[in-house]
Amino acid sequence: MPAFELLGMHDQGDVVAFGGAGPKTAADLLLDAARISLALPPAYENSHVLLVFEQDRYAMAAALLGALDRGHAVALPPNARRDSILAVHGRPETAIVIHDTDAGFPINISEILGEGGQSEVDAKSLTAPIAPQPGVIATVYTSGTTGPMTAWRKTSAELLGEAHMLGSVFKVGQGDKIVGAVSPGHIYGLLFTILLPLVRGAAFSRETPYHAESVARCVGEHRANILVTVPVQLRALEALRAGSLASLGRVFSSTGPLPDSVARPFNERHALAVTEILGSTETGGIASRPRQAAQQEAWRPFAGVEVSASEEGRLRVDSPFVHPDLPRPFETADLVELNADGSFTHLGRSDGIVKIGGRRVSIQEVEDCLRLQPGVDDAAVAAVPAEGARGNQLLAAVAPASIDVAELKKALLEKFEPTCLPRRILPVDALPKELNGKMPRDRLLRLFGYQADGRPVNWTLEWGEPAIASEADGESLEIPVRVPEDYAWFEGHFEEYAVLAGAAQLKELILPVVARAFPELGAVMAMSRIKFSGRITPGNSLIVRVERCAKKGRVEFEIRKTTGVCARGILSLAEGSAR
Amino acid sequence: MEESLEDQLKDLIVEALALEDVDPGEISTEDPLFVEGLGLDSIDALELALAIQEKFGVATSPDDERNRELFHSVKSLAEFIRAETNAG
Repeated sequence: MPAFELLGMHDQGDVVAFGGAGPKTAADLLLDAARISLALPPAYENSHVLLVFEQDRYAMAAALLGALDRGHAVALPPNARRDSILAVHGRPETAIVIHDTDAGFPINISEILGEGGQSEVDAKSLTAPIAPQPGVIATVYTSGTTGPMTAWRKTSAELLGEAHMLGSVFKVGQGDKIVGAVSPGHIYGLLFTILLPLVRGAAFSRETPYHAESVARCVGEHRANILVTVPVQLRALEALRAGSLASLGRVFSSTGPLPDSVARPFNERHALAVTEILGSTETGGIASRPRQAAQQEAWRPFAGVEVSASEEGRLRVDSPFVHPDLPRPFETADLVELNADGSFTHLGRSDGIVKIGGRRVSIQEVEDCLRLQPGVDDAAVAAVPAEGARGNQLLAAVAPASIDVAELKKALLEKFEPTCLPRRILPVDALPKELNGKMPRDRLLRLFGYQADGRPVNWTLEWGEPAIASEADGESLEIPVRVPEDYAWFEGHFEEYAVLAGAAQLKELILPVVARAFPELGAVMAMSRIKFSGRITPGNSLIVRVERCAKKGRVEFEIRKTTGVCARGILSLAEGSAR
Repeated sequence: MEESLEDQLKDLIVEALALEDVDPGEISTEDPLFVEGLGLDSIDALELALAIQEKFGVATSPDDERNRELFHSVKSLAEFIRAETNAG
């Protein structure tokens, strides 16, 4: 078992932080932490120092070590909004705030570490390694779409134990340089960009670059080899020219699903596989997986993490990184399928929470809010996967059809962040509910042209190259075509036994080929000798053949597959008129 | 007649952001694109910036304040692209 220590693997002269504001060594950090410790009030039971840092990760690390040295835990608000900070500040356990923001309230870190704030620290010195008190060392606050804040207590064994584990799994150590492109105020950023380097002898970036160009500049200038980022940012980083992240050897992504449409182009452009991390504030780190081009690997649990699944398929986690007060194994809302080799496949969430651009959004909450709006009789919301940085998008149907969608969006914006709003709001006369009042997801998705699994309905046949042959009595055209497995015409025809209906064959397979072969012919006037003799099923490869008969306006058609003819007949079409 | 830059941008917005319910012709040249106008969000801004870079070879500045002005409307985006391509 590793000791839960910070700065145990750095030498005094080792750089712990780098960036535009200059490098800082382990010795600097110990000195600054001692200054901060001296400036803090004495600790009391469960006392916390609230940390709000937006500029300098080094200053945050010094404040963290200073607070721990003084016997306090630290509190991290869910975001840097004034109301969130005030809410955490108002709790009796909050002893004091230290920040590096523009807000006017004390204590601004510059008052302690800045030029004018040089307090004498001779009387007090800190020596490495620093071993924090065994109990709670941090309280991390999270907030839902709109819900109240939740406080998550984390002990030194959970946080430093996980930092040690991550360091040994991913072989992070002395000489490694980590660029933190995510806020260290959240658990993912705190662990990967402050605790991991402090525990393992590595260095972190002082700034938190956000835009793709600033990330590339920070990585390039300091020859950093590790980047800690999120899916939305990876989407933007893909647009950088190849070679602009050349010094990187590893890229971590977490906080939301990394779509293939983001992972693959990034991998191709920069020749870097992304290491995706699954975890939560409640459970700590759970699993990771490499994201190489064109493959979605299963999640592999971290060392020391035991995973199982409930009867309903919910992921259960037991590990040293789950808080001691939580039930064990801790059941998450993630739906999974366990594989024989100990890995698991993630199937989604059971609680209607989706991540949109990395933000947790409750489908239920959005639906409830829509229903409460004046003039709305009924509403239903569903999430479907979306391309690019978004990852997921919401679709909403509302009744009655006369509702003003623009007004509805305006009302939602008063309550939700713009990214949480349904991407499409469809006014309908009535929702397509079942007789028992239930609103099945597939019926709702169908309104928007999506299949039950969230993929768009496929109306596209896969046509091949045509072959033209002139024959004595007329002309003919043959075109090979493949009917995709998820072709829309199969849906709902027969639940278990999908075949392509005759009308669909005529409309989608035959008439388009007739139009292509004989553009001079017009509308269908009559049909004769039509026979559908073989079934066309999902995935079939077919050849559609049309041939002009000697008789005016008559076309003979045939659809066949390797096993024989599926359909044939004769069409009479209007001659000489455009269709 | 060649399509105007404004119309090209409207097509690009609908295409790049997969706005299935929006017809490019409906997008106003002057109205705000984000939140109160067309209702785009920060993720759309990112996707749109990438699409503009790809189509017009013009990179938007990483400066937050200026970006807000550039992405205000189709008109402001068109002016920016014109200025950048003429300068370049």
